Amino acid sequence: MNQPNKRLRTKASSLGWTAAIVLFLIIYSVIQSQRNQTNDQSVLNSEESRAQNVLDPLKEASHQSNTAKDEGAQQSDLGQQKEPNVSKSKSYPVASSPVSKKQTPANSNRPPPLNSSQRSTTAKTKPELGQLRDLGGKVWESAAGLKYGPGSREKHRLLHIMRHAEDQPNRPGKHGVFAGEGERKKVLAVIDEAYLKALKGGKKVERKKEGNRIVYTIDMDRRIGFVGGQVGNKQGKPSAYKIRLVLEGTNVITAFPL
Amino acid sequence: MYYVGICPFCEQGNLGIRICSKEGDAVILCDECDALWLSTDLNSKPLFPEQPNLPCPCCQGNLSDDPARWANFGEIYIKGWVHIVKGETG
Repeated sequence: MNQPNKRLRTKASSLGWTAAIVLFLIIYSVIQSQRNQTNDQSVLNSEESRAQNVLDPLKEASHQSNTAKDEGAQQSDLGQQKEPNVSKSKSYPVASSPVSKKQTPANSNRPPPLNSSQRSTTAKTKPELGQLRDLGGKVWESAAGLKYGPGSREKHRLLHIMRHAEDQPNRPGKHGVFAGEGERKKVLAVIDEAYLKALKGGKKVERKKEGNRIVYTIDMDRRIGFVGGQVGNKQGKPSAYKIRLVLEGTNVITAFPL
Repeated sequence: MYYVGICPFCEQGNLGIRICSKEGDAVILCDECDALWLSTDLNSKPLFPEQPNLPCPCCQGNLSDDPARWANFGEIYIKGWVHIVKGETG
């Protein structure tokens, strides 16, 4: 009597296991397909969102630099600029996908190669003049392609340039001061604009080359600041309409209004 | 910083006397564009030391890192360049 009952129980148990495994496989495949769809969408949108994520914190850093009056404060401001790099990888949707740890083009941190239609979409979101992106090694590149790296007595060219965001009335000679209420983004935007104008050339651009240095003097056709320093203050802070850019290749050495 | 004039290259920077970090060599350096002169003849063409360390053209030292510094009056006197000093910046 016990033998047939035992067989029946074993058959029922194995049927139950089979049904459970089939059900599990169906649920798993449905979840997988949904995840793949989400990933494809994320990859297509990632280029735009990534660029925005990188640049937004820089806007904040730029705003913070307005309040940085002394060199020490400016140093810490430069440090804050590095945060976007960290947040960039955090906010990149593909990287957070739990589907697989294996690094493939579809789920790695690296953006996928762009086809022609995606390139045109990216071109629409190119950064505004004055925005910076981190190239590593404390070098920052502006939207126009100018590079700001370590150097000068301020230890970084961005800090050196920002000396010209406010007057130094006791400085001997002239001291060009950018308009823009000391806001770094506005200062860098004018420099970017001047550089693009310099590259186009024309009557309003003077170019002097000496060794590896190029000095551009660009007439901006509008007031872009004033002349301060001892001489400028004696003359009543006359308006400045020109910018002088001193470059080594695309590396900025200095820039100031004239 | 004791300055000896306005930079003829960028036409804005103050020219100071810089002491290098190793042998104490004195050069004239623009605080705006890093143009450099080895002598007081500012009509001669400037040198442009490599960025960002500004190696000293006379020795293995540099002009950017400590103990490189702007020369004090005694160092300028010893160098014999007091006559070109125009003043002191704030």
